[in-house]
Amino acid sequence: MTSMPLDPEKGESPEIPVGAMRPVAWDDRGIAEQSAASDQILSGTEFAALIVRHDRPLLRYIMTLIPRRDDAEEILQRTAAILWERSPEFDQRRPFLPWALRFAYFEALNFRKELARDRLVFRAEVLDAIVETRSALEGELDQRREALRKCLDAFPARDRDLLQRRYCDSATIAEMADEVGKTAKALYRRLDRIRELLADCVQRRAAGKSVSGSIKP
Amino acid sequence: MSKDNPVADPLPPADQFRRLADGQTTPDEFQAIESRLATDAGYRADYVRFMDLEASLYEELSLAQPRASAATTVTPQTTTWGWRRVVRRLSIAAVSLTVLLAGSWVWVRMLETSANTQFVEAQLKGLEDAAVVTHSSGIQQNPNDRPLMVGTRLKPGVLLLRQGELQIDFLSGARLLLRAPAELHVLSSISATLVSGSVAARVTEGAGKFMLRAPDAAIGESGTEFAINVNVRGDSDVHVYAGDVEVSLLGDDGNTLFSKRLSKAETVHIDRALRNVRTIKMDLDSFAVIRELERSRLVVTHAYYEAVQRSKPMLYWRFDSQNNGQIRNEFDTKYAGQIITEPDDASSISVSGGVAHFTRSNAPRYIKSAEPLAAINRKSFSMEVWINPETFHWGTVMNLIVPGTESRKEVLHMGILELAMQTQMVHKPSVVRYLHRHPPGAHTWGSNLFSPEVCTPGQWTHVVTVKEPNELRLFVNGVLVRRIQGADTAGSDENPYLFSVGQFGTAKRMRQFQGMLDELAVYSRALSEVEVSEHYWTMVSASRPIDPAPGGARPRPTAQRALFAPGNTLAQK
Repeated sequence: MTSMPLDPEKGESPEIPVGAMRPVAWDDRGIAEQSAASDQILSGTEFAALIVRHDRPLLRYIMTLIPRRDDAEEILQRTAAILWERSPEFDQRRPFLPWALRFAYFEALNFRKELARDRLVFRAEVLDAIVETRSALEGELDQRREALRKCLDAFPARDRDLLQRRYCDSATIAEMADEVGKTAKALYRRLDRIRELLADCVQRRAAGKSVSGSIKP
Repeated sequence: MSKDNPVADPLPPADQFRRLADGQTTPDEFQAIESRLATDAGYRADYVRFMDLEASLYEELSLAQPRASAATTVTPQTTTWGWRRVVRRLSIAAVSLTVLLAGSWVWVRMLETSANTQFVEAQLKGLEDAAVVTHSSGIQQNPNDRPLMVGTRLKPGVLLLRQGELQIDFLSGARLLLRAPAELHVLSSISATLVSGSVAARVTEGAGKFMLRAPDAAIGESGTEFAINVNVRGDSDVHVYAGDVEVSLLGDDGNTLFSKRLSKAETVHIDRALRNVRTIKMDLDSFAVIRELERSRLVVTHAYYEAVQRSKPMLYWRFDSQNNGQIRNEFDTKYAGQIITEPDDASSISVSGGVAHFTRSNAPRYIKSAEPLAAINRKSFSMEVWINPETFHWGTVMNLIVPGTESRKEVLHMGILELAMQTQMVHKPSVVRYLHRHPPGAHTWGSNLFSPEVCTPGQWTHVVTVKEPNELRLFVNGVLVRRIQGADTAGSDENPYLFSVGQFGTAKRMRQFQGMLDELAVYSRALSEVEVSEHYWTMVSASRPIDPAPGGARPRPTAQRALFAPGNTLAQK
């Protein structure tokens, strides 16, 4: 599939990869559930509510295309700005998230063009293939996220704390190793082991297999 | 299995994805992953599952997870390292990083086929942002390179400036202006090496330690401004614009051989071959000079004003004007602002053009509410402000203080919103910090929320704090970035609190904020996520540069990156 960059100056509807167009399992509960008339323009408050409600699915989608978190958040910010600009065009009878994902996809492509020489970013046709795969797996991914919450609850507090330091505070392994008096290598091993157990737990739960009440790495 | 030889012995898919997510893949590894993603559907499905789990982990752990106990603050202490010890320590770090950067450097040389300006990031795991571009002019880049525009963040790497000039602010607070042709190696937020060319440097008082190295010399000290020219032989000329600067002539091991203290207006030549430093006279036009940031203002529409009014603030300072040192509260006759400055330094706080502008002063200077805020902490409250800092620095924006303690040696704070640096807690430099301390006290405890990203000099950043009885929230640019939950997190009481703006407390000259503030509001309730988002986007959607971007391209509507950049002149509200 050929992907053309979004040209908002021309007011064009972007060409979208097939996968991204499928509204199937996306969480679109907050949309147009009020099924307002399409010619009514949402107020700033209503549109802000839509963005707030959907920013996390948007970030998950973007991170599949551009895995580095900092880059993904930058793309999310750009996407939100575009969505705000294009809000009068949003058809309230349709789901919000698939509409928003189109813009996220093209912002990822634009970002890729900007950074292709500085960083490692996938080719456009690979991004298209990922989008299609993601769309096909959406139901399973929902189950896995639910499973993740349960698995995290079952994890020992000190392992959860370690994960939280890594993911919440963006602490480097070296900083964390300094704090707990271990070598960075030991902490890498520990973190890898925790994530391995977590992935295994998610896989088992999502597949409907039994998982013991608590997890002891 | 060796992780160093992935082509000969490929890692399992999960390990490949892990390295990709952590930014550790080599170009060869990346190419292998990309090829397989394009052709292997099962591998692609595993990749999607992995990345979705990774993103979900961020989501679950960064915002939703309550913390069992509040963070503990440590009393800030002045760093007592001697200058030579700092030189030695920074030299070791700089030498190590220079070695690590060598790989990137070779790559630059191999890629360098055009005469365009280039910045190549070091390909190392775990590197943090070191600096941000704050001024750029006359630069030509290759079409696919990341634009070196105002707001672009730089990690350690090699900068080859072929045309024009570029100013970068290091997260430690130092500001460098490079004039082409120049080559600068960005080593970290506290050090850089000028390989050749002209650089001006300003390390303001209140900035962190910073060292600028020339091939055989090292310079850096807070409260100084100076310039260095390095010629092709590696000899350096140094001129001091302000403060006293210590120049260290370095030996082969990177340690100081000889040092000389230079005063304002002094110029020296450092001869690499002879290893000496001698005073000279030369034309000052050959030295670069720091650019002052343009002071762009917010475009504040009536829609923004209405959005804030709908949220019913108890205090709303718009800084449209001042009357005998009084700032009007738009929502009430109470809680007007009072500008407090020393008579001989009244310009350290000025209200004009619709903003409040703060500069460094040798005396305490601040704006305080005419009356303490009554029962502000009864249950929930929120504080909202637009911040445009002059530099990266440690500057307190807002305080909530127990009345009567503001003049004591130890001020009793209930809340502080500030740009944090060198606090001796774990966080990036120059991020937004909200501290809630209850019962109010001095420096020994408190719940802290640090933003993940910095507040960039010359750009407007929207900051909102929300306190609820068992939860604290910090929003930056309309997005919830930190939350702390738990019964012990945020105590409540019925007492009034003194509200002041612009420095830490009111009694001493301490942590003075430098830059501009606008549209400051305090609410006696919790703003919702939707209200915060609406306020932010209402402001952003109204902001448009008057001049189109070069080439007629539509300017990016990203608040952090372009809309409020100094190069964009914005209409007055």
